Amino acid sequence: MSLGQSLIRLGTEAKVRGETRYGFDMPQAGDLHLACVRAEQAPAKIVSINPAQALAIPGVVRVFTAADVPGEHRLGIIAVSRDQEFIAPGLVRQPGQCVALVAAETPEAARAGARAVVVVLEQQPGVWSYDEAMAPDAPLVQPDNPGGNLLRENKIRRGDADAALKDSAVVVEATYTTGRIAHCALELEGGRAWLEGGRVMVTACTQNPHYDQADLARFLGVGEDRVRVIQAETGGGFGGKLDLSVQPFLALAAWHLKRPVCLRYTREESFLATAKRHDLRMHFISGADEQGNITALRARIDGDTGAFASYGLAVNMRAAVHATGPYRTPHVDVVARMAYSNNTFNGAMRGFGCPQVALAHEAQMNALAAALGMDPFDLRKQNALRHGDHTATGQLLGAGVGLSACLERIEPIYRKWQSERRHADEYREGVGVGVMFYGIGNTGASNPSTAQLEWRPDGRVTLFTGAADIGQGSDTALMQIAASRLGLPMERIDLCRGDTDRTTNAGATSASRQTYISGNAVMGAAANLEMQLVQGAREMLNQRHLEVELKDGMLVAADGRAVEPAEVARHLAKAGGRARGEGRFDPNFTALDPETGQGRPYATYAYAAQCARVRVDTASAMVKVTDVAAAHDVGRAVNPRSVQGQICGGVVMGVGMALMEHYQQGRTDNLQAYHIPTAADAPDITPLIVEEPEPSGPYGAKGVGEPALIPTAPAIAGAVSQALGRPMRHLPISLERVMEALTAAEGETTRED
Amino acid sequence: MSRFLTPATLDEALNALSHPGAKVLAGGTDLMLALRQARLSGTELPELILDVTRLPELGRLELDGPAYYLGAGLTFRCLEEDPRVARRIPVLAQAAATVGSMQVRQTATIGGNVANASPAADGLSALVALDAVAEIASLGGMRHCPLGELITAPNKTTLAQGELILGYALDPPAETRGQAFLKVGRRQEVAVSRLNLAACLDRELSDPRVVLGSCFPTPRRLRDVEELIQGATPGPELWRAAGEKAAGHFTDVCGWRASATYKVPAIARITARALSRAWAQLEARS
Repeated sequence: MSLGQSLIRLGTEAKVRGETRYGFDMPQAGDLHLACVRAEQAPAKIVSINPAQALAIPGVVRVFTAADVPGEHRLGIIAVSRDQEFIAPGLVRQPGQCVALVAAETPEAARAGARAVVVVLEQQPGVWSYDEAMAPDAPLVQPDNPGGNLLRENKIRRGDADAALKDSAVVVEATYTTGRIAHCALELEGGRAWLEGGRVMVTACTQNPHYDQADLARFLGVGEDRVRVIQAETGGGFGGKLDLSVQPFLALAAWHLKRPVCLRYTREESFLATAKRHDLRMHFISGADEQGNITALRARIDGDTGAFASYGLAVNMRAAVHATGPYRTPHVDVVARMAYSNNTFNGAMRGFGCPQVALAHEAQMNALAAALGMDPFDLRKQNALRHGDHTATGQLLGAGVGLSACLERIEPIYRKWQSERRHADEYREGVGVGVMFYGIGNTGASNPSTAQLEWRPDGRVTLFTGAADIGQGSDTALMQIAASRLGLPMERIDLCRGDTDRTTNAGATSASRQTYISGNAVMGAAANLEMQLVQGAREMLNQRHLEVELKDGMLVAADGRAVEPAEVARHLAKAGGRARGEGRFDPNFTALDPETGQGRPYATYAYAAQCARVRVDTASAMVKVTDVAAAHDVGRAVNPRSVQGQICGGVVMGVGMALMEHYQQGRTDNLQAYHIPTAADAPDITPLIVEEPEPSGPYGAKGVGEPALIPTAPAIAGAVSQALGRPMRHLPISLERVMEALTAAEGETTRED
Repeated sequence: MSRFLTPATLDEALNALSHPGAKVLAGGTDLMLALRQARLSGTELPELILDVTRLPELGRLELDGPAYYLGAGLTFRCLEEDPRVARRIPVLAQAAATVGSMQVRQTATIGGNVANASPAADGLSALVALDAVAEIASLGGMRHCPLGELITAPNKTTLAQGELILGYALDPPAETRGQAFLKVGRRQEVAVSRLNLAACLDRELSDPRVVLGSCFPTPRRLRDVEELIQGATPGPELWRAAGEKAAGHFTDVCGWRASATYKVPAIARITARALSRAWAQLEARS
């Protein structure tokens, strides 16, 4: 019924009217206000913290330091690399790390108090890049880490890459780099906490309420039953709200002061204190035979995770697994290394390393095509992964590989744009293509979701899910799946979402996993509910073996009799029971071999191909992306308009990544200095939905959240490279980089003349 | 806590402005950022914020008589949209259209742009190219000051406490002048200029004006470039030579710093293109 319809997303009207209350809007009159005291130097030993002057300010209630943390200091979502200290206990590892927390009656007093706390630091030697971190005798950022400054090395080894490269007809080699990127969610981090019956209640923006609950309990040194997290409406996340932000401060202050407290980050604080996208340096050597079949990839990928691991492990592994791009590559030798440094930490951001490696694998495809004298689009079609192929990790791909279909959809557009391409005095034009695959869900690890569906005696149904909707539309998608599976209009279903007291763990809203994994959990809950209703109907009809099925919201028996599910719910309620279905889904995976990286890291992959058309101004070196066509294999579009929205948003974010976004610590901590695309930078976007059903997906669906972004920057880089006749290997493609290439290209033309 | 006052008459405004600690709000697009910064850093807020947007004197737009006059309260949106501005002083219309976003242009004024004196102010370069003279009022009377003298350093002017810019008298340029404004930013809109250039050319090339912004502490007329153009033969070669000269002017003044690897070629190219466009505009008129 509602599946496949472009329904307006739940909550849209309230958002348009400005009535939605986000985490940032939670503060109420009478709340205490918190402010963080942040260290300006790092790394540094904390010599002393003197709160006396702060406490003398009228309205300041309390100054907390690490000594006030009752539980564990070190938190983090990946259990083996839990290392982030929210209030530094003795050592400041990165600039901007919080060393004390001020609570006051007003935001002004809290801020004044934070300025008045006297912190004496003793500067220590630090490391500020991957190379510095990995140098012999480098100072250690996290001395407890067994690998020193090396957080993790991931290897993918298949066949014999060196030998295959030696035998290849063409070999291309280059180094690529990408910059650090800030998520810049519209909503800044904010929330509120209070005590209720001896438990601490926290409501804040988040992508993962159940993880928050567990880590907050650890921080307070209490059982999880003493902490309740309610996800507030969250105004964008993009991975930046996967780590804890304001929550530990809120929980700690409420716990001690037994009063409601609130905290909001400023934009500057959000830049300073939350994760960024990892900057990666990628050295790629690719080979192909004379017919244009890819033979091998040898890749070395270096990353800097900053002072805290955050999602560094996930980024490193994903970058390695996806380094080949979605191309048959029989011989693979990839080593990805992630190091600690004293930079502000990097973490999860839309795509976990895949947007970075896509720059490299797509530029290598262009270089291979040039070396072979082949058309770059044809080269991609020829090598595109298909049903029956193996990936670099040796995974055999079953049905649901829609890459060739994506390429077919954009090819006419690509060819047309190429034919229209021209250079004039004032500009040069170029067209580029970007292709990607993306594993849905966590890499080579269990990442289940759970959900419940209850048919209530009043005839309405409630869907219970822990999946955080952060604006991407999971609420609506999960409701559409539930409605379709139960044969009900969506209006008959109520949603209970993201409350640790009322819903169970659905895992993080990340890795493009909620439609596929939580969607399947909802399917399971519906099946389980149906079974209970059928059972109940049989009891009511006094026929234990009667065929009964749930059809269009009614229980219809083989003998023609029908029972309303609500009647069954009432029947069950009389006996103290409920018609409540439980669902759980964990994708089918195997862990990767630590030495070879071989295994089945994901149950399924999304595929996409995009092409971009750009115009480069020959005077200013400004690049305008004029058009992008984006074909995405989503398995099945649960809500086509939502999918199109994700694609368009991803493309615009990709324009930012390609052309302008570059986080420089201490220099770009506001939206005047840190540029993200505006509407004027948005190209004309043609979103194209490809549906190659995934047999294990709910109604065949996969995911699209991150895939929407990943091919855009490589397509733009390819287009600018074509316009200038020189490969653009470093992001962002800034004015400076374009001018350099333009000057060099014109120099060559002059010589040829 | 600041007081906020919206005077209805110029007298009322000048009286209020003579109090030390009074700050003018003309559009607020710069002032509000400064106020936020002050609030966050705990520094003092102005005692009085004076909203001058209701003063009729600041809204004058006279382009029909022999003397052109632009009120300081005109918004960039108005300058961008007004057909007379587009026809007679296109360099300002083009500059106005590049300021901030439409939302910013809707409220930001040509008075605030000058008084804030950012080295990257887009309106300022165009006004300098038009030889604008500011009309400044205070309780003590009026004074007139060319913009080149009014603006002394980044965010510094000779405006004294109690003085308010009413508007600008423009050297009537002559519709016969070809004009062009170009801006480079790191994105298509809402970008601080990396550099901007305003060019005005008369048919005889007797009084060419070339103003480069965002490269020096204040927008600067490139006199040596103007001299090169003066009386020379118009055409691509001249524009290219002028561009090279402009780039040379920049390195002479600023030396070779990191930003020069981009700016030097960009100045040469942008200057040549702006001159070429200004000339093409003249040609199109004949």
